[in-house]
Amino acid sequence: MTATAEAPDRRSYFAEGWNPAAWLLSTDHKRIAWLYLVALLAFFFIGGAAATLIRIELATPAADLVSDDTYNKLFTVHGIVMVWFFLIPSIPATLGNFLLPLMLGAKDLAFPRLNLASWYVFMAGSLTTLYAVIAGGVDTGWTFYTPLSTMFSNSHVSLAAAGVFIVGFSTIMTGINFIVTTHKLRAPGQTWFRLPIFVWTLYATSLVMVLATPVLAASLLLIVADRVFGIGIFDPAQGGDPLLFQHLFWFYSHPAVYIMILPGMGVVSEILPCFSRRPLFGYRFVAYSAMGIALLGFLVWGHHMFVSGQSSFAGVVFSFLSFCIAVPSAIKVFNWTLTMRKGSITFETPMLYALGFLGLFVFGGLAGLFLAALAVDVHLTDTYFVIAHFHYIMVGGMVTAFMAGLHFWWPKMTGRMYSETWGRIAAATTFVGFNLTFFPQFVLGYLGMPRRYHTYPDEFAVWNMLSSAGAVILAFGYLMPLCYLGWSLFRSRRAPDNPWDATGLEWQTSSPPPQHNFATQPEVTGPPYQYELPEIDRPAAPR
Amino acid sequence: MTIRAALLTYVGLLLLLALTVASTFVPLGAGNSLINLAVAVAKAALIGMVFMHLRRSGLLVSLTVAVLLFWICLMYGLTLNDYFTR
Amino acid sequence: MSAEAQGHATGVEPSGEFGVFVFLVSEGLLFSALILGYLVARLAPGADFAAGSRELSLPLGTLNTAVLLSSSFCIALATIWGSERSRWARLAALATVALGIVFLCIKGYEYFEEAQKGLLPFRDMSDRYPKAEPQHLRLFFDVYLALTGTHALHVISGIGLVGGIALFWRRLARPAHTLKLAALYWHFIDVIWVFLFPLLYLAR
Ligand code: HEM
Ligand SMILES: [Cu+2]
Repeated sequence: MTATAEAPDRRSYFAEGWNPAAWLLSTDHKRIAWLYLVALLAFFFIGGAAATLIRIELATPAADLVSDDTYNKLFTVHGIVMVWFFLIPSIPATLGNFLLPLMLGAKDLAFPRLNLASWYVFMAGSLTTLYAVIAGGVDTGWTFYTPLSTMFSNSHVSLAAAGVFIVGFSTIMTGINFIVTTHKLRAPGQTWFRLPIFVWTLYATSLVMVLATPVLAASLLLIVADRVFGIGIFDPAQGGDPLLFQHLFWFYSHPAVYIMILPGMGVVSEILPCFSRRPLFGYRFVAYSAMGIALLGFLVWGHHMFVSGQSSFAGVVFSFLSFCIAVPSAIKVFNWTLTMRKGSITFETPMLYALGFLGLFVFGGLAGLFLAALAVDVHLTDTYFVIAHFHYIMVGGMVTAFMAGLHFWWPKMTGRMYSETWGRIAAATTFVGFNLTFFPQFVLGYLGMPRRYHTYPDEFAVWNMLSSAGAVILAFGYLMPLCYLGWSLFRSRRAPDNPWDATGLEWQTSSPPPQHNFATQPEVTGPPYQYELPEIDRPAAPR
Repeated sequence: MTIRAALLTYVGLLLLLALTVASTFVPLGAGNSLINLAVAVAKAALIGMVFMHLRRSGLLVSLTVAVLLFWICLMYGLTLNDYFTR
Repeated sequence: MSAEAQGHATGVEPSGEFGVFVFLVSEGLLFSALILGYLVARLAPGADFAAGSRELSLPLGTLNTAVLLSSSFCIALATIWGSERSRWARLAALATVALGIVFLCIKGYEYFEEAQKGLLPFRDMSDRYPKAEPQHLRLFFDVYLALTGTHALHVISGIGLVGGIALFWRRLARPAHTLKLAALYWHFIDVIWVFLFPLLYLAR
């Protein structure tokens, strides 16, 4: 990444220097976005490596590659790394960090130094956990359930939990920064209902970050306190209640799944109008439903505890509320679909990814409704059906949206165009590979294959083989962008300022943007997504 | 906030503290907990309104505090809903 | 939105207070979750919180509450004097720190006494706590340690924060403003204690 230095007249943010200090100590949100991007990619591939080993083990019914104990540690690393060190910060800390000030017409986030600090805190926490993994591993699953994690596990639970705890601080820092920025640093004329949906979803995400993460901190703190000092609030032998841990953990972790998906919804809401040349259908509904999801997401956590021993009345309440949360998600899906209606759709790479998101998210969300039904969940809980459900949303939805956003804004971030052909091939490959990997897991779960075992009866062999084969294709789908995007940094066409002819303030500045984002303070005079049919010459600025 | 207001608040806080501690020597059953809770809320309100100048910090900050209280209700309500119906 | 806040500076003045309050919301939920643990434990069959509470020292607890309230008063004075650019501001901030340290010392002494009686759940209580049914107290002391321990950690970071501002007063760009933000945090710690005190010491 050294050849992108700009001609001196344009003075892009890359021109501020290439020595390590210029990157590691810069408070420029655009550079911090890159710091996060590099770190998160590394974690994505670490988590991916664990997944690869898991899929190799599961390719055949017998235990041929790893022991049961190692297998436990593998899926734990996979879960912890993917959830906390990749998905939670993924879009907010990279694309969000880069774009939020640009979309608001601001010079930077409200607290630039806090932003840089959040990256260091993130690295400190994630490396702590990584050390715990290298030093021997953790075998509790990413959920750290008590009493397994407090009484029975003799792996490095405390250290791993401490790392996650520290990463939580960085999440809260980012959340505070985004909330304050959105309130205080909007461009003149940019009222709340002139904000791009991506900003709305980042705002909703940040609210969830600030409101949920401390509760995770409390639950992890109590686990560590139990292991280190014997403070047994979750320990039934002392009169404590292990279910309380699940309440606290899921009070965080269900909203956390919306931390993971909301920014993806925002990205797609930017891309679909652009490549359909249509304004976003029902803008206000999409904005409100983001806020609705942020609120309702806090009311349903008990659906992870249907068979745990919570009262059956609570089960019914949580089941009902879980159905309710499908409503705002469905509103969004309908609005996206109607946005494309009668549009003049073109299938560039970001659009292909966005369409992939749409299909996979709907599929995963519908599976969520099955699981939210109490009686059905008793059969499906802790099977591969659950695994398939959340991978459809988290990988099929969120990671696909991340790729969509990365391709959409890559020209803005780097000033370079990537190979469109390779982009389309990669988008198609991930879609096929993803479905081949995870659709069989729905079937397996329905047939009763439990999650978290390293062996299984012979009758599940075919579906597992398919799944492992799909994983190979999926891996190619993710490795390809690494190559052609990396390649594009060094030798490919320079990007124009607005390659997609998109609306939004970020496209009004140069590609890549100058250090302070805009030469003059931009103003906003109209609603977002002013796309018109048919395509004629039209200034990119919203009017 | 003036020095006078701060001083009055401080005295009020100490009086409330005396009240709540004194009340524990009078056996009132559940009444004791009620008094303690009421006094705690009063003290928190005093500190918030005067020392943290919530009175004059505008809609946005007031909303922020309201969000906190609302979310505490959500957490407690839905969790205790489980414990009270076991 | 007022025009002056938009898009220009990287928002020190209008954003700082709001940012701190958003942070305090987060902190508030951390303590709420821990206090939820208290409630659930108190409801648990066999838990005897009244007995546990009676083992704590009411005089020391009351004294400590008064100390913390005084520290809040102190830092309130410091912010007033700070906005008047008076030299007393720095002194009042240092007094706040001193009171914070006093609070920690008293708390530490309480822990020490409780450990002497064998009440703290670090080891098996039954060999050290001589009275009957130590198990009933155990849950109370679990919760007690978790709550006061987390609170004490916050007092420590508050001391670091306010102490840092007082020490580096001259080198800060806007010390009075920074102190005002730190004071919000300090008052918040006080509010938390205001709830912990009756929950733990007055549940007799
Ligand atoms: C329509 C909305 C949704 C509903 C009704 C729903 C419902 C459920 C239910 C009932 C479970 C528990 C299944 C069980 O353990 O027996 C579950 C698990 C899960 N869901 Fe969802 N879900 C929805 C959306 C999402 C989203 C958007 C994500 C992620 C971005 C997600 C991620 C997860 C995860 C990670 C788990 C499994 C956690 C674990 O046990 O390790 N869900 N979902
Ligand atoms: Cu959930």
